[in-house]
Amino acid sequence: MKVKVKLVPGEKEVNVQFKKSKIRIMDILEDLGIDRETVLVLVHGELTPEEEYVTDGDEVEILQVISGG
Amino acid sequence: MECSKCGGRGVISIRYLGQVLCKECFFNYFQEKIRKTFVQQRLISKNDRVAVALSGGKDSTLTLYILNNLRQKEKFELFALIVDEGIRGYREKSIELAVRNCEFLGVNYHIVSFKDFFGFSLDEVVNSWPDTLKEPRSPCTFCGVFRRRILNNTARELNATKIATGHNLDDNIQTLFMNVVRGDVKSILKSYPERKISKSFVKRIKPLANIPEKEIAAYVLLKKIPVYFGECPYSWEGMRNLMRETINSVENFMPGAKINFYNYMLNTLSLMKKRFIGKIELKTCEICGEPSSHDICKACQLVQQINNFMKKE
Repeated sequence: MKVKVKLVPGEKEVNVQFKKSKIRIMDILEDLGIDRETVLVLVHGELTPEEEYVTDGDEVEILQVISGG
Repeated sequence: MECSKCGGRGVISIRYLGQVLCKECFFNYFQEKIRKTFVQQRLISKNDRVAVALSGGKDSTLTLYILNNLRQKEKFELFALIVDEGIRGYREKSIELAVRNCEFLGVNYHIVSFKDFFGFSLDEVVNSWPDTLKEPRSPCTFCGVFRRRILNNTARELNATKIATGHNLDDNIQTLFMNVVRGDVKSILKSYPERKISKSFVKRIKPLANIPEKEIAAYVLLKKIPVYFGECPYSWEGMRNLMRETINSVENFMPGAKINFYNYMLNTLSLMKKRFIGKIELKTCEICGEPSSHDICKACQLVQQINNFMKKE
């Protein structure tokens, strides 16, 4: 399966590919080397727990939350 | 995923509770935690005049909203202090949001810039600081010292009885770890929430001190409070980043480690305070007259150095 992931801020988009047809959000974060403590994840614009599954075609947005100074 | 409490649609996983919460249950959990902090630490007293140090980011903006909400019930005055460090392409946007939030809530605000207060912006300092000098290592060092000075002096001039900052659980633990590895006991004691070692210092309160950064961001997002999520171009304080990664690794291994450590810190500091606090002697800065642990305070030392570099340019 393939998931399109948008990274905010920066508006950068990356494609993540997995052999499985269903994966958890935390797997995507691990794949991208992102610490779950530092981000919120939105699926189709809705805040979603990292343990939730996503499938092909889901729109995932990763919002960095660490203090900007 | 279902909410562990009501079976609704879960929006956030609170791992140290072993729970997934829906929007409403998360709001209740979050608000109750804040309420307890205000009651247990007696953060606000009747007739207080509170200055919120407002940047426009999530932490300080939420602090403003919480205090504004509270002043509907308790009798105290509230205003915002916005510091413009002069960081082109970054601070303008966050100040715009800070002002918009103040106007929306009907809270008075004052903007004070580095340029007006010290004669130079942070951008100018960074550009003039020679690469050959190792200390201070990052712009955060100047920024922190100058920002604290502006906040304290302006709050005092405006007769504030307290300064409320948006420091969250992650900020506090990172700072503590940084001071521990530097062996800096004085700074650790200064971070104690009930510190009041000089009449010249306006007392500081941190209503979000025990709330993880991630929960603050989630709350602000779900409440649709307009905040600035941009990253400061100078936020590359190496030591803090290392501490953040280290502490988060521990949290990932053992959810709850951050809050456990915070509680440990409060208990330990309370004991340390009894032993050390009377022994911290403050002098008066020979240049500005503010309280300082040295003959010349850190802010004046930095200002002198910066002025020297700028003259040479």
